[in-house]
Amino acid sequence: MNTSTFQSVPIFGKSEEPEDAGHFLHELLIMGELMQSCGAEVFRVEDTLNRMGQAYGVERMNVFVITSSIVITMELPDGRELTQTRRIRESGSNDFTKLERLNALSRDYCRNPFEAKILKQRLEEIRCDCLPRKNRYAGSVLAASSFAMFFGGNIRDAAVAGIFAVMICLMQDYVAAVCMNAMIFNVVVSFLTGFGICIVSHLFPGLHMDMIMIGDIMLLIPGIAITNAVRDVLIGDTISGIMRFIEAMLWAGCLAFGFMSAIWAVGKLW
Amino acid sequence: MREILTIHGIIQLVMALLGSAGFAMIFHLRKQLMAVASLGGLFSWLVYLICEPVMSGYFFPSFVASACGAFYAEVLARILKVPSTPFFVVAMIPLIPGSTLYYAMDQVVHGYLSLASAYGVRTMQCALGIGGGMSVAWAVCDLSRKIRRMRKA
Repeated sequence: MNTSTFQSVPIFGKSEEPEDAGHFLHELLIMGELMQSCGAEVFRVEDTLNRMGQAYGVERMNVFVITSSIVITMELPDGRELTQTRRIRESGSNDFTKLERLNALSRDYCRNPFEAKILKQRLEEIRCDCLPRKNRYAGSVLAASSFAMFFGGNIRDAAVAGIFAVMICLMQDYVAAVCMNAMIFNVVVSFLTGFGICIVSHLFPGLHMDMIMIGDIMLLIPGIAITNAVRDVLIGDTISGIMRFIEAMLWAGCLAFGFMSAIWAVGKLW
Repeated sequence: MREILTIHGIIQLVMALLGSAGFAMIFHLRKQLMAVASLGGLFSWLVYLICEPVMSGYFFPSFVASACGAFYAEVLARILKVPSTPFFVVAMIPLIPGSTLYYAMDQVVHGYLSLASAYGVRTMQCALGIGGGMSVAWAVCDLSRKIRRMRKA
């Protein structure tokens, strides 16, 4: 975050349009939502929105962010108070390029505030800057194979873990959309992955089933969500932290359930 | 130091680097930052390997390793003038207790519940250690920022 304070000129009241503050507030909500969907922490979102509001020239910003909602009330210099809220349904994954661009946008804004129209345009540009699919696949294969070897597998285990990583990515692309929610999807994806790995390692003795599974579990495990949750709690965002923690725990439970039933089923079948 | 410089230790370090790089790709990190961010993963695992024989239990090695990883992230973020989150997240990845979670599940399926709960507790210790270490590093960095600001004023 930017630590220095900028001597910027407030933009409030410069535009002729009366609803200008409302437009600006609306764009702020979009900004907050985008930041959350890119994996920004709660305190970072609150801090950024506060700074941008201050740069806009409000008397006082009241920003309240939790993982599922954003509430902003701006106290304007002419005495009006504007409030808008936004419900956030998806807890997004991480997208650090977007996060960095959003951070740069907020710095630009604080240094030299511009109109809500331009803010909207730039936010839309950032929203469209998504990760190419082949990069995600390549990253998943690399991560799963490396962690299969990291935990003690050999090169063949790594290769099999890589193949199942592609399968996980394919499921994330095509199966996630038809599942009721993220938890059901996790059960499905972990069951199918576990089932496949069990079968393959029974067919080819010499493969280490546990190492392959651990490599692919690393892709699915909500480890980052859990560490973020613990950190949220310890730095004072208790509500968000606990929400995220419970979500991550349920998620981990679903994974465990899926993998366990796969191991059990293959054990019975064989 | 001798325990780390075995073939097993070196493979682990290289794989920590590659695995972190893989996650950096999944998380859409800018290409220019990829190398330094993945080095954070290697660094925190190196600290873990150094601490593991010296300290008892699983909480403290994770704690120290994650604090060191977080400091690395914070320092890099200040030098490169980008948000620290990407570096934090990528540096923590090798510390995530994926294997103990798997062994806990495996023991449940085979009916060894006491072993399963031992692995489960170990998983939680690691997770708490990571979170705690990050928070301490974060608090110290925040303090240093405030001290610097007070000096300026």
